[in-house]
Amino acid sequence: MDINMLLSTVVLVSFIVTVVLAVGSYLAFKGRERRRPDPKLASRNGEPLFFERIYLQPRKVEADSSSTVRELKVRGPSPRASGPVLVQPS
Amino acid sequence: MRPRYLYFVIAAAVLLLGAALAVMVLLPRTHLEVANQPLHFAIIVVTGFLIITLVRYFILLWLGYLHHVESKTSVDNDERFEPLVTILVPAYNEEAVIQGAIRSLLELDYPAYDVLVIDDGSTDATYARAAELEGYYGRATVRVVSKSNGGKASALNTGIALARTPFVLCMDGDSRLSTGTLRHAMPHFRDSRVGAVAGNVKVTNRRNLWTCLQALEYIEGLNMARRAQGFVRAVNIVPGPIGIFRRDTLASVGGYDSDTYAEDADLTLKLLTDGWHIVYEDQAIAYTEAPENLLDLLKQRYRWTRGILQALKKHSDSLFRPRTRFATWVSLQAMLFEAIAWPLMNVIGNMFFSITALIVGAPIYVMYWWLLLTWLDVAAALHTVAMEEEDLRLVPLAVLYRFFFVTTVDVAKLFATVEELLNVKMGWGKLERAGRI
Repeated sequence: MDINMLLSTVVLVSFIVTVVLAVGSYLAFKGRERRRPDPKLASRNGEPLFFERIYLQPRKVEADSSSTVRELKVRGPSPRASGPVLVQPS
Repeated sequence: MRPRYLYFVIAAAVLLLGAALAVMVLLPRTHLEVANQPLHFAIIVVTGFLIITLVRYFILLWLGYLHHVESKTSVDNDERFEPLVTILVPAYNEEAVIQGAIRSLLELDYPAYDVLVIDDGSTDATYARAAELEGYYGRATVRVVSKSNGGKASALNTGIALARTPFVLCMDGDSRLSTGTLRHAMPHFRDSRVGAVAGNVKVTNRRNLWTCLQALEYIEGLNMARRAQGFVRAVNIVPGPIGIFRRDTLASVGGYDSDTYAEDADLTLKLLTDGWHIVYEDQAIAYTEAPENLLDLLKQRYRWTRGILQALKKHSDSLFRPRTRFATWVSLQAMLFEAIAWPLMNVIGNMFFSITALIVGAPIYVMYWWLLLTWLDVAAALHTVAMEEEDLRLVPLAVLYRFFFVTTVDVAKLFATVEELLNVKMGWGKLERAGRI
């Protein structure tokens, strides 16, 4: 096999392999997107699905304690510093 | 242009002429000598493809060179044109990069401007990080506002509504601007017909083969076309990372719409079909992070392709029944060609030729074909990299560019086109940024 034939075969095979890999990569990309959670399911009332929602409930308070519940821990997204909240212009 | 780069432009022109001669003389002669019918047909197909490729390169490079000459020889007006501008920075979960982005905006070489950061309901600390930098900085004022999440188009519309200046610059929260951006872009608005200026987007994270190839693609592919369109003042996509607009013009066309996945392309088409001229300024530079791996790259191109097709479909009346100026109509046709026909030709045409050559046992013709296309790409890379006075180490990557990078991206574009035609559902899928800029 002369050098021209060899190089031609290398080019040809490289191109075909690239197309096959490109199709494979596209299928991998689609598979990855499919594994993502559905945006509609990903939130409940605007809250991320993967945060565990904790409702505030009064603790059992000792009978002789005059204080009310002092501290309740809430897990979930930390409250953001507040700023002016704008309504989307029509 | 510095002499060193001028030599490269001349070398590229010589290479291009050589490629043209090779196609016009060698290939027809070769195919006349071929007795095998399928191969004969395949060679005719690939010759047609090569001629279209050559014509495309010649038109783009020639118009781009005229744009370059025009911008370098335009006489500076003594009277300075430095109107007030608001830089709109939409940000959604950009806590890694938002402070750096704001700080870089404070260093622009321009006498007076506002920076308005619009936090689009981020779930991370984007708002808090941005708000730390709120205040007056001599020439620049930084304001930060927050709104409920509604997407980039909604955030930019909020910014346009809140801007108090006659011009706005729309960018991405994860991009950086060159210091001369406003100084170079604003004089274009002296012409009252100019509604927008498209800037020059460059890849900043040139860390691996994928990002280096994208850096070359932005220069050789995207900017080459934008420069040519800029010469006829009909740029068909003002890029998301950097676009400067008349505020009243944006308001008159209704700002950004959220009904396509390429709101920048959609807005540009609205402006063009409304009769505005859109120019290109290569010294107004936005540095952006490109996807660093293949799957993220495919995701980005998938969204671009479907978004552009949606925008074209939305403005199809202007596409098929021209009601604006001729240059705009040609630019729209070019957009359609680049979105559908060009990837189709690139993948299907080349596959057809390769398989035919393989079946009939004549791979030597594949060698001619590869050499010619690579020759063209190297010439175009040399020309465009030299024109932008960019890193010349990108030029050798042109050898890998068409057969490796363009083929991979075009396959994704073809699938995206099919899925758009079939109305397959898709989501936004924000790209993860490494925060390297």
